[in-house]
Order: sequence, then C-alpha cells, then structure tokens
Amino acid sequence: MHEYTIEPWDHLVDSATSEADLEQYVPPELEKMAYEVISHYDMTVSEMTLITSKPDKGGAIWKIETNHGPRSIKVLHRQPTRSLFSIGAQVYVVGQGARVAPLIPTKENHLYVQAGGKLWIVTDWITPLEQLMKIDLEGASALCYGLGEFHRHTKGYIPPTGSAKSSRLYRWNQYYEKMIQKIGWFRDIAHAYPETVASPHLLSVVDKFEQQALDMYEKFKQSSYRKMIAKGEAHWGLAHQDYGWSNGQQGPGGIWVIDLDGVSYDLPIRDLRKIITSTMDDMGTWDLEWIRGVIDAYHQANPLDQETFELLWIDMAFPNEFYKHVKEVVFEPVNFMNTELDAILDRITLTESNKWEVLSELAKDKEKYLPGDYSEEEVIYDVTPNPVVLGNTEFKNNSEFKKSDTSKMQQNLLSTFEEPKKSKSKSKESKESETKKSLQERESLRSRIQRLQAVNSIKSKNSSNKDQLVDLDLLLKSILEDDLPKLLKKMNEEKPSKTLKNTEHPSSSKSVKKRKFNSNTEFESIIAKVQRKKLEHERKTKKKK
Amino acid sequence: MNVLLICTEMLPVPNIRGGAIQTYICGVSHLLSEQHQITIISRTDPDLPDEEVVNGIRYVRIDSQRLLDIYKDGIVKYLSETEEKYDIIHIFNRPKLVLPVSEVAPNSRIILSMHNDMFKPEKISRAEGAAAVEKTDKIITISKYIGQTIVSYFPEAEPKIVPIYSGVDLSRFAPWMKSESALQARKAIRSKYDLGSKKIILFVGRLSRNKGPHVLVKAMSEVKSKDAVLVIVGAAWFSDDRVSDYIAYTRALADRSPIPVITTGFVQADEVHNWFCAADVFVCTSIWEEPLARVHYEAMAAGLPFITTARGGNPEIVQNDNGYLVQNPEDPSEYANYLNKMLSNLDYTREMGLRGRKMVEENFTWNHVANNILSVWEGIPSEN
Repeated sequence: MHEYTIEPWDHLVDSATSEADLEQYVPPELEKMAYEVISHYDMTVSEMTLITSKPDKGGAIWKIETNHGPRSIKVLHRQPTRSLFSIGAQVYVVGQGARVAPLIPTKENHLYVQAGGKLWIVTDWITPLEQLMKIDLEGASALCYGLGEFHRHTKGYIPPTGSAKSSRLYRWNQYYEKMIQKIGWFRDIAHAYPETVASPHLLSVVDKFEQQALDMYEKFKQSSYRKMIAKGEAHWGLAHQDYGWSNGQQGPGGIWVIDLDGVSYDLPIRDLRKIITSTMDDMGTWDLEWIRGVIDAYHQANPLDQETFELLWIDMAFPNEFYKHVKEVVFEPVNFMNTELDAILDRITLTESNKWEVLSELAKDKEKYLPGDYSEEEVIYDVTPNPVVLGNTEFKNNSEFKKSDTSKMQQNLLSTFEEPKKSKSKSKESKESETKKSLQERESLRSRIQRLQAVNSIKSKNSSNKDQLVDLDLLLKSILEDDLPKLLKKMNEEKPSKTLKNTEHPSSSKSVKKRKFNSNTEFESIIAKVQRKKLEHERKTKKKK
Repeated sequence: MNVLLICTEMLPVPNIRGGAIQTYICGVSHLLSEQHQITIISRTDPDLPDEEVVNGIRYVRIDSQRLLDIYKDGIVKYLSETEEKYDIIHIFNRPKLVLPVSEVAPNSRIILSMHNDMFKPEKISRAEGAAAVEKTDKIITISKYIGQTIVSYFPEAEPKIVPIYSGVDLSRFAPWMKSESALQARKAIRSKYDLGSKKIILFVGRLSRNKGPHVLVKAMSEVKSKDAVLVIVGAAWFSDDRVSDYIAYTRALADRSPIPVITTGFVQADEVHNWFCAADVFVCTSIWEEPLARVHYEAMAAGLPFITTARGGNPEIVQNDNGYLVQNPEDPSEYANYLNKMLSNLDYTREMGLRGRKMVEENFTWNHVANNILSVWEGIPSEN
C-alpha cells in the first residue's frame, strides 16, 4: 500500500468555509490513518470524535472512548524530529511529577507511532477538566501557580537523541530586533496605503511604539539577560509558548497542562508575560492588583529572583500587544486597514493610557525578590545529564509503522516509563512514590539553597552580586521623564488625588553601578564558554563510560 | 588519490533540491574525478538511491533527518566499516565533522571548505573549533572575508587558509549580446512575461530580510526610468512557496510601487539562467555579512553589470568597473542613484557587464575552481 503522507489540507476546503468549520474537518485518509494508529494500542475504541484540527499545518486531535476510559489521539503537525523534542519533554515532566497526561505506550511499548510522516500520541483524557474564570484574579492566580509548577518540572530536561532541539533561550535579542524592524514595516505600509481608513491613525502612533521598543531594547541590553542565559538551557527548562486558559485547566489535584507540542527551551517567564499583557489587552486597562496577584502566585510555585523579575518587567514593557495585533497588516493591507485596524488601535491606545503608571509602581516590587546567583555559569549536574530515552527513535523516510526489536525497546522503556500493562497498577504506585520522594528531596534542597542565598545576600548587601543589577529605579526614572509627564498631567486633571499618589517617583534611586554587556564579543564569549563547558562535560562523561 | 568529499546534512548531491554547496560540488566533481578517484557522501533523498556510481563518481547517501548528529553517526559508521583508504577527506562547511572523522580515519589528510561563518562561537565551541583547525591540513574559503572571520576566532588557522572563489557554468550563462541561445532565452522569457523591451532590474535569491530585497522595492519610488521593471526571482526557502510575513510586506510595498515589480516565486535551478539572460541590471541587496553570494558569478557570466552591497565578501567581486558598491544596504536612495545612472546609459552599462563576463572567463569557471582545489589536494603552494 502506498502510504498517505499527511500534508496541510486547507487548500482542499472551500474558501468560504468559516474558520470554525475548517477546524472540524480532516481528510478521510487521515481519519483512516488514525484508526490504523489505534490498532497499535492495546485498547478497543467505541467512539471517535474530532476535537479540533490544524488544516494549514496538518495536525488534529480526537477524543476516543475506549475500554480503558476516554483517551485522546493526536497527530502532531510538526516535523517528526521536532515533535520528538516535545514528546521527550512530556515524558520528562510526567516523570518529575507534573500534572500532564502520561503518554500511553503501544502494544510494542513505543510512546508514539510514526505514520504519514508525522508522530502520533495517545494519552488519557483527564476528567474532569474545567476552564478557570478568565480575568478573575482568583482563577488567574491558580492558572499562573499551575504555570510555575509546570516550569519547575521542566528544569533539567535533556531531549532524547535524534530529536531536533527547540530553543528560544538565546534568541531574545533577535526577537526584540525583529519586533523593532517590523514596527518599521508598519510605517512603510501605512505610507504606501495612505488612502486606507487606518493609515493616518497608524502613522500617528507608530513612532511612539517604535520609541518604546527602542528604549526597552536598550534596557534589555543592560539587563542580566546574558548572565542568566549563561546558565544554560537545562537550568531554565522549558516555556510552554502557548499557555493560557485553554491549555492550563483545573483538574484533579490542581492545574493540568495540555498541548505540549510547542515547548521550547526559554526563560520560562515568557509564558507569564504573555498571559499578563494579553489579559491587560482584554481588560482594556492595566490592573496593578491583578498583575501583582498572578506574579505572586507564580512565585509561590516557581520562585523568581530579582534578575528574572526585572526581565519580566522589561518584557512586559515592550509594545507587545501593539505588535501582536498590527503585524497582520502586511498580509492584506487594504482590507485590514479599512476594516479592523482602526478599532484595534483605539483599544490599544486606551489600554496604553495607564500602562506606564502601573509599570512604575510594579517596578518597586523588585525589592521583594532575592538576587539570583549567577556567579557560576552553566549548571553541571553531579549526575550525568541523561537524555530522556524513548525507546528506538530511529526514523525512516516514508516508513510504515515502526517495526523494531521490541525486547530492546522494553528495556529502554522500563527505565523511563511505567511498566507494561500486567503489573501496571503496582509499579505505577511505586513509581509515583519514588517521584514524590525525589520531589521532596529536591524541595528541601531548594529551600536550603534559598536560605543560603538569603543569608549571603544579607551578608553582602553591597557586594558584587548587587552591583551587577541594573537599577530598575533609574530605568523607570528615565521613562517617567520621557513621555509620561504629559500623559499624567492630563490624567491628573481628571482624577487628581488618586493618580497623584500612584505616580510619585520611586523614592530610592540609589546610585548603583551598572554592568553592561553591550558588545557582541562579550556575549559571544559567554556563549563560547558555555559551549566549552558543555563539551568538556560531554568528554568527561564519555570517558566514564 | 582516493578522495572522499563530505557534503552537509541538509541537501543531497547532485543538487536536485538546489543548495549553494551542492551546486559547487556538482560544478567541480566531474573535473576532479578526471584526476582522482572520488566518493561523495551526502544525505539521503527519496528520489535518489542510497548508493550509486555515476560517470565514475561513487555517491553514498546517509540518512540525516537534517540533523548533524544523526548524519555524523552515519558517517562515522560508514568510515569505520569501509575497506576504502582515503588519502584525502574533504569536508564541506561542517567543522564539527572534523574531529569525529579524523578519529575514525586518522591516516587521511583532512581538507575543509568553508562557505559561511560556521566557526563562529554560536556554532562551535572554542575548544572544538581549535581542535578542528589543528586536525585540518588546509581550509579553503569561498571568499577572503570568510577566511578573515575564521582567523578572527582562531588566529592559528591563518597559514592554513586558502581562499578559492567559486565558479559558474559558462555554457549555461552567456551574454545575450554574444550568444544566440542566450538571446533566444531572453526573448522567450520576455515574451512569456509580456515585458517587451523594458529595462529589467533583476534580483535573484531568497526573500528574507537578511537578503534585503525590500530595500530595492522601496528604491523603485526613486527610479526615473519609466520603462523599468523589477523582477524578483526566488522563494522563502527552496521549494517552499508559502508566504512569510517578510514576503507579504515586500509584496505589499511592491503592489504600490510606481515601477512594476514582478515576483516569480520559486524557479528551478536549471531555469534561473533564463532570467539572467533577460535582464539588464542585476542587484544583490545583502544586509547581512554575506560570505559572497553565488549570484554575482552568474550575473557576470551572463554579461550583467551589477550593484552589490558592502557586506561580507561581496566587495571582493567588484573589480575593473564591472559593478557598483552600495555602502548602506538599508538606504533605498543609494540603490536608486546607481540604477538611474545605469539605466540612463545602457550602452555603457552593457560594457560594464562584458567586463564582468571577461573576468569570469579568466578567473571564475569551474575549471579554475577545480584546478585550485587540485593544487590544494596535491600540496602545491597557491599563487596567492
């Protein structure tokens, strides 16, 4: 049989079909393939319902009713090697005790099936799962606490051999540079289409947002980012990259995280920042109490240090929402600028009106967090950093389902994953208690480290650690002196007393030395050092073997 | 000698999927095989057998999944199992392959060809880079610029660096003023796209910000020649024609350009020369530090004068009044000034192009490249 190769099918669907309907269709070949994949699992399926699909990328997820209860089967739309990175992450975090559905092994004890040029996975359908109340602080705090837990569990992840590593950790510069460039594109497009409704509006605000991005980029360059990333990818763990009210849901025991397809190494607070700024955009105003609440909740689960808090602040201060909502303008400029853009800009401008006031207040919270220890670069583990083992990860182009040495596979699986069915319940229990134990151990270690850090920071209040921090107050002052005063004046005229109180300049502008990492060479030398260490480490572990 | 060429993990040889390094290897391998026994390792491809011998060259294709680690393991396995004794192993653009290869083939001389900045710290650690330089006999670079970047990271590499410029197939790229077939190609594609006798400004390359064609599109607002047209030949990524935001942006600007802008989408490697025959001026708009783009040789071979940017190795090719150098590749006006100069005096412009053609005939054919590589293999000190 000539195997069906999964490709995007959006061209197959009538262009008049609505987006919602589009996501409710998959080609019959794909559905047939889903059944073939199912036949590799020890389960009988009585019902299969398409939950959603990605026609433009070639991905889909179904809910299936099986003799083991409800489950999901999912075809991951990314390249197999990339999907393997995510599958490895899922296995890893489950092993660390995260509330993420474990992958169900096939009859041959594979954790995934390759078919149609993509990887397929099956998990239990966690019930009940409930979406938290959006915007409501209590719900949001729970969501962000869950995010912190998830991030904590991703630390130390080493992807399986044969997977394509996905990392944005070292790419924050490029991300910001691209944002700045693209804001320039918006201006070019507005100039090129002067007759459209929103063109003058866009031109009237683009300079301001561009300047914000440039200013924040300068602050970013002076931040601790480069010291932080020198800690390496495994130290920071993974960001979900698409976390929100649908991918983090209330379930048994707390927040369950779903849809790990897009995870990548990153400073995980990128996820937190996205939730905060997109919610402010939804609310139409910046809400200090809400922001403080979710950051606190996150901090409870995955403690922030001062440097990380500062970077979160900088990331929030970029014109993220302006960029996110306007970037579409390049695709259909006339249509977009004549219909949606004007209202979008109105909303963004409105939301913007108290952004800087709130951020300047929030910056004072820096003192709540302990300085991080960045004296040592990459964390070198006492134990060999073991990549997640997934059994045989060999792919063949155009291959049928995998046939391979199952005994070898089982061995591999046993080491990282739950045992085959027969002894399932028992071994699962012991595995769980093991996980818990090691978790506890880690927790106590962590609190010990934190106590030590606290002691150190008290001992050396003015020591080098502190010196290398960028003074947020100074940063803020410069913002305040720029375009804020006019704005504040206007607002003060409206509600004088309250605003005045909130906008007092941060009082403590101590003179603190700044450490700049401006030059590329310095950055590169840090990267080089990290890689050198990695190599040395790899060599050492090889020798040991 | 028995020589093994190792291509990168990205695309197969022959260059059925395109690729600058693959094109380069195809350009020289048949010439090299006249003197030596050649084996070429590249990645597997559904349309090519895993092993074959064609015209005396042995092709071995190793699975890579586009991942160097997987490819590396396959190469090490091949080398440890083969009965062949290679006098030379010539690795293309992957300094990270040097150590594993030299470990398993300690008696082979290792030559490295560098096509871009793979020695930079993000790509290879100081320790591994230094060890790779140490194990390598010579490092061929496709421009002096690439040689300089390597020396900037690894000063000890300097005596090993041999710049060898790339080459072009003179039988496919020819000036339409001098070649009947090129003239036919020029007429055919101009009639196909209804371009008549318009003055064609040509860009060929990937549509990405680094390559910079959007600046050229912006420059069209300042071009005075009413009968000019800008033709953009390329795609976002090899055979992938999906629209990126960059392409959309460039297209949105092009839609409002006073000078017509035509985008062709992806054009097969064996058809690109038609556009060089059809054009009047070629423009390379690199914003990034380009190693030295192949398209310059192709433009010159087709007798096209060009404008290029002062980035990377590009300035090395501007010689003997064959083209102009833009100092700030983000400034549309600089392009427009040169274009206005060139388009208003086409006779002189064409003479510039023919000077470029002469330069190619004398220096940049595949024969030149192959002879230079042979000198390195045979240990003859280069003229430079």
